[in-house]
Amino acid sequence: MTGRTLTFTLFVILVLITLIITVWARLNTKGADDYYAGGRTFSGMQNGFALAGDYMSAASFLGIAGIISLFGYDGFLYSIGFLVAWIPALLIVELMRNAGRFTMADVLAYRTRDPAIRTAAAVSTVTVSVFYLVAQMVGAGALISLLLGIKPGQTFLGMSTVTAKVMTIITIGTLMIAYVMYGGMKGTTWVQIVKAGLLMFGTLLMTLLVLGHFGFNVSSMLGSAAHASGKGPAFLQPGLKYAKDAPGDPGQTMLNKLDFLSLALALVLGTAGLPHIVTRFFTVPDGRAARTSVNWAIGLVGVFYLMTLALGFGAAAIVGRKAIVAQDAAGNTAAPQLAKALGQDLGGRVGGDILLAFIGAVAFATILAVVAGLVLASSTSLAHDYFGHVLMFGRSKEQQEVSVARFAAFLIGSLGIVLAVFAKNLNVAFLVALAFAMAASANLPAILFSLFWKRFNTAGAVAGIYGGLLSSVVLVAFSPVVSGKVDPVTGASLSLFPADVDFHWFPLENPGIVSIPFGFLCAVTGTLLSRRKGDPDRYLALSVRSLTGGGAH
Amino acid sequence: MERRLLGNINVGLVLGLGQFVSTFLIAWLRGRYSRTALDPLAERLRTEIEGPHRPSLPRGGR
Repeated sequence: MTGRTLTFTLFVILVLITLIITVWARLNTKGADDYYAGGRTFSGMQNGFALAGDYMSAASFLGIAGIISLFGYDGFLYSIGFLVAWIPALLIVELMRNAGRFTMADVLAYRTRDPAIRTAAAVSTVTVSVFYLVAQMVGAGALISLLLGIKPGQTFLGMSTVTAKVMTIITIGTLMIAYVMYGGMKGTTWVQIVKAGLLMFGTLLMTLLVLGHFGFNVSSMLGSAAHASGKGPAFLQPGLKYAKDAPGDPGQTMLNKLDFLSLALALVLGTAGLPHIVTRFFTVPDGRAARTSVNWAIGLVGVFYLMTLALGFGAAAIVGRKAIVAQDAAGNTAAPQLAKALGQDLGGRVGGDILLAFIGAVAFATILAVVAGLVLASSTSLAHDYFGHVLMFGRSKEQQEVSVARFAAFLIGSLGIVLAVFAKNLNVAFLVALAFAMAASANLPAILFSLFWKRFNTAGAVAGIYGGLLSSVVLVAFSPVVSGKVDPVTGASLSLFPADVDFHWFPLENPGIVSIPFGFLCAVTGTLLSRRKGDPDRYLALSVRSLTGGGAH
Repeated sequence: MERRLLGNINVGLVLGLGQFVSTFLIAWLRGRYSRTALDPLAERLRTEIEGPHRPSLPRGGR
């Protein structure tokens, strides 16, 4: 059996397991509580695994290992940002769980019951999730080809590289639609739990093997990595990728530093506003279980991101920069390549193939689980917020809403597939950072002010959501990631558009540092300009409910 | 950042790891504070509002 056959077989086994879970979940899903919130019967620990599973995308598993292996310390900054981001989530999780029912909009619309807030929240949820989804699926198309070792010019099962990429996107899209349509929150949560378990196990195994390779001496691992990188001690210090000094150009140096700050802000403040994370708060029985689940998530995510150090520096030392860049310029295959090398250490060629196949399957599970979570969050919001509360004025029947949710999952999933197929050759990695920036700029102000500001009203919530959302999108559209960034040496375009198109005027790649304050500003201005004051009694009711859990769903 | 502390482990890495430690610490302290200071208050308030004989929520119920 060749390595590729083994990898492919593991993929198939994994798909079968997840489909069995989905069928089981379908048989055990009766009403809206089951479909949207998994019956609220998950324990804090189970939901903690699922939260971690929703959060740790292929971008963080393969991407961060890759960035660390190529840029050293600066890749580690991503790990830190993604972990610290859970502190804001920890501070609001219990209040959100107590106040809401299925979606973020349940919390935002609790005080005014205004459909306008529901519409705004649904727009923001779908936009954030679809952008994130497209980034994940385009990445997946390229990634699976790499994991199966399909090189340009080769064929796999009679398919060329391009066909294989499209087929991968369609397969992943179909599976995610199936999980969400049939499995609902129950099925998706179990898929997340299995994925998180696999990912933690796979990463732990590789970390132990890497450390073992260096006699459990971290310093010697770092030393070898720095030496092999060709950059020496600079590899272990900040400055190879972010906030770089531009020699002789203090303005550019300043911009580089601002850009880094902007990215960090979006990562740290965005997590608590990501719809697929927020929907997951409602799958546990009460606020305390929700708090426990975030604590579990912090533990798991923290240990995972610590281990990315071993993966990244291990890959730099054992695989080497040259071999990594030869496979994928962005370093996305550093972790699988490391797995192969470590396996070969243990058991020759067969060992290498087995460990590579296993890590490939883990990455595949990671992609599947994350895209399913995104589709679920947006279809829930479309059905519950837009259909249930805007179109049907909150009088829809439970079964009706669930049917709409299943159909919405199909629509959004299909939209994701189409967009990803069209964008398959574009560099859309920036969409992930954009999704975090949108979540931080549009959703976070509305959430925080709803919970803590007595005067906050409909106008403020709507202005904040649309203001934050639009400013993030517009700033990115006119930023160097979309047009005007050119490789100074080769002249090739580093943006979405070809090198001769340049309409950018916003100098930063990440909009957060402008759009997040702008979102808050819109929310405040909207509130103060509107003559309608928030109802103080409803604010009191929300406070009691969110703080004590009295009357919570 | 580049000052070496132990072998190849420098100040930058220790600061980075410190972020992990501080995050775990904050989560733990917040959990402890919620359990000891906030939960009893919330429970008392809830009993005051809903009465001592409120039906306990069935697991998974609304």
